[in-house]
Amino acid sequence: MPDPAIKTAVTPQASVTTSDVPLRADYISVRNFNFFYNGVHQVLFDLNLDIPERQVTAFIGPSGCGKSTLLRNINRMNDLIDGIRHEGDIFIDGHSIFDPDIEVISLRKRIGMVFQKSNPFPKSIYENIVYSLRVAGRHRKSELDEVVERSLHAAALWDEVKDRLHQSAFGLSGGQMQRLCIARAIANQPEIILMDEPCSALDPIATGKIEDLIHELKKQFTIVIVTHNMQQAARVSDRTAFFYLGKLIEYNSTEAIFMNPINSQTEAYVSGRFG
Amino acid sequence: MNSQLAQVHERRREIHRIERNQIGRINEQMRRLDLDRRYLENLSERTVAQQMQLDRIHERIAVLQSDFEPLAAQAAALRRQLVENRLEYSLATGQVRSITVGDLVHVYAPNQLHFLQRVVLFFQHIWSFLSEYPREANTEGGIWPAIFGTFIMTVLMSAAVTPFGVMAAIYLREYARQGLFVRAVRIAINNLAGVPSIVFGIFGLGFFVYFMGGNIDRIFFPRATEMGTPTFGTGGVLWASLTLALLTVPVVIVATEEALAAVSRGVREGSLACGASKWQTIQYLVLPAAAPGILTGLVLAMARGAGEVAPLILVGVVAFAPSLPVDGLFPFIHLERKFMHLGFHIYDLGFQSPDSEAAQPMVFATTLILILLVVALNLAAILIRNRLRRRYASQAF
Amino acid sequence: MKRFYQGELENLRTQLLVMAERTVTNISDALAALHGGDIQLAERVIKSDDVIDELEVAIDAEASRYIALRSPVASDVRLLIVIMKVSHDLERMADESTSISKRVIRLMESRHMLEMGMLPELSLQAVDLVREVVECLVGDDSGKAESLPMRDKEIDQMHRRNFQFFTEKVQGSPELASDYIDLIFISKAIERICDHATNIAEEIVYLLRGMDIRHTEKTKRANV
Repeated sequence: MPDPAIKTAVTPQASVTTSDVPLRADYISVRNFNFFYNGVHQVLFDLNLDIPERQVTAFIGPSGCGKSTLLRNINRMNDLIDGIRHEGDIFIDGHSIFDPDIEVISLRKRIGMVFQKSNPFPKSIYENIVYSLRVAGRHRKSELDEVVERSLHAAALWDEVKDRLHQSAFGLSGGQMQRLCIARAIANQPEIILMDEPCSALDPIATGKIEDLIHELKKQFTIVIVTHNMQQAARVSDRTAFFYLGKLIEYNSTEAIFMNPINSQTEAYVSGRFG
Repeated sequence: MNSQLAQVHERRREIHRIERNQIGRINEQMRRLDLDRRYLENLSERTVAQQMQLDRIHERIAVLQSDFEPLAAQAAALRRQLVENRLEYSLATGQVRSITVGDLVHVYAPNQLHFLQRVVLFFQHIWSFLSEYPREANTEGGIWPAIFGTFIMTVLMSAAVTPFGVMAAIYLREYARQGLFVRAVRIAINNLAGVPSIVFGIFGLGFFVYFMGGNIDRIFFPRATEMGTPTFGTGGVLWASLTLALLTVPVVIVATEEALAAVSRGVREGSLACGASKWQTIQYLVLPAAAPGILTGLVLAMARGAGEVAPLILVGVVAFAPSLPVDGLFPFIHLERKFMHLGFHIYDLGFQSPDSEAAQPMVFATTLILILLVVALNLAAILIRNRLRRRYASQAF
Repeated sequence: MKRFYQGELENLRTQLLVMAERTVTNISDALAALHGGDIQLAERVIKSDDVIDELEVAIDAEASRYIALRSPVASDVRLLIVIMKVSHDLERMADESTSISKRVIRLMESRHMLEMGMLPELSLQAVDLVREVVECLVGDDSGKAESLPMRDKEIDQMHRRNFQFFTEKVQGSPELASDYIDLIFISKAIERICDHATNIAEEIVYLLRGMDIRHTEKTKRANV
């Protein structure tokens, strides 16, 4: 069980003042994790990995390797699917996310998520961002205004949309929409941001902006990103995990994975000679 | 001539006002008092209090009677005045005929009208057809009560079918575990849409009118029921609406389910990832996004319901209703009243009228109105759907 | 738009410039020690060679990391290639100045009066060439860099004359043979330093213009 002092250190508000508290190297900790669809079809095999606090960790691997499945287990998004089953455990800051005392909704409030296809709600830009506050029952206008401005600044979108906050989010470009989704994900001050191929539908310029943004956000958030784009993983991440057929093949610093991988499958994948 | 006609119209309106409003109000009170009187008189023994109540009722009836008589006399006098003057006219053949002025409705000389006047007259006729009460056993006059009856029934039906259908669809699509049972329910719903409408009428008669209406009467109107004058225990606009709501609920469920299914997974996941509960997601995002689709289903259901006749015959439609389900008498909306309906009006005019030849224009005109109504509703559904498609087409879902 | 990691490339270039400055200092110090007979200066040159070696290793590591993780293209990839080559050239130049310094110390210890031939002039030319190359590197001056390889011809001729002169000295006075052989090697080392400087000049042209001027007719004729 973790030290309570460390617990307080990871809430974003506290972290600003107590920056001398060391960051956890096992902020998200996956232990002997197995995962099954339809009760029997196993997609993740005995995974063990520690994701460090306030760094970017990339999951790479060919399609169907289970990287997205693992990501979606971290905020229990997979709960939506019928017939799933897991063994082992995932800890966030020392606490099991499968603890029956933890409500899945309160878990998800601590974890922002950005999806492959940008999915703004059919509402105004403003309402998109304050959505997570509204569903948490916070409606005070001054607070919402402040959150909108802060989140849009953090998502490097404020200057582009500040004059049309109350217009539909669908008027934005693809890259802007995705940055809006990031602003939405960080609006309620989560601790972790999960990104499921956030740039796969974007052009290189928009992708570049998102990557720069990720680089900025890691000062404040622990980021886990799933990506098909190996250059992207190399550019934005501090640590990289390579998955193949539901198994964790290699997990190391991004530098080691891309310059001197230990496993020959990793080597083949990152050098594009796979399969 | 024209001033006489204007006078006739004025008198008719006066008679109408007296009969419908003042006398109507007295009649309503009389009816209630009479019910109590008959109930009390029929008791084999009466307590002192009941005897006093009976006496009081007799007194009030006498008062009302005295109010009623001058009004009735006034109305009778006006009616007499109507037949005082006669109009004599000769036909082209030279024959001379006469008619009481009171029987005249319009007088005009078609051959002397110029074009604009004809156009005005044409629209005046259409307007009077739409806005007037029927005369001469429905073969003359307008169809306003039928239009209004159809309208109020459709509104009530929508009010009943929307929450019911939408909630059922939300449960089936969002909450129920997709399995054999839900599949069976869906099949049952689709079959329900194919059940002949008369079967719904019979069900409505048995369930709503006899069972529910009967029970309501027993609990709330025991005296009237004992006297053999049921209030809710007979066909009425409420039961007709509920019967049609049952008939159209599959349409709403299917449309709503489709609309819910069309709301993208991405939006739902995005909402859940923001820490929203399932119900919050449905409430804030899924329902607003599905609203146009739900509305389309509702309009289609209305179109279907507005055109139904067979079940209505069993649960409250009549060929001629003396009063509308909504009027100036407390409580203003009378859900237990029988009502008129366009579809039944056509049937009545065409097949039940003593002189079906004479009623033919009315049949055709009423049919046209009903068809236009249904077409308009379907068009509205299409327009809503297209607007919805345009609005969501640009989204990168 | 400037990407977050482009700062890393700029840092890398700055590191290279630091290495270049240090190398120039080592070369001029080694030659000053030669002509001034300053053993301490020569010893300092030998010591500071380690720093330059470390810089080369660090630059290589950072450049290959950048190539692996940032997938550079166009001028970025040329810059990285040039950085790696130039750092190698600089390291070789620093090594040559170290070997000069070692020979200077040995000559000082043997305490013989020696004739220097064209060595002073050659040294001046070499230091001048190296400085100008580094200036081109700092100032992104491709025009000047293109002109520098021509000067190598002159330096080669000076070295050849030194070689002849010292060979005669060895034959004339065999007791001073080992000292004059040292001077031959020093002359050769200076000539090698200038060769590396020429390479760097060519690499600067490649970096700035994306074209390769090595082993072309122009430079070959100049080298005859």
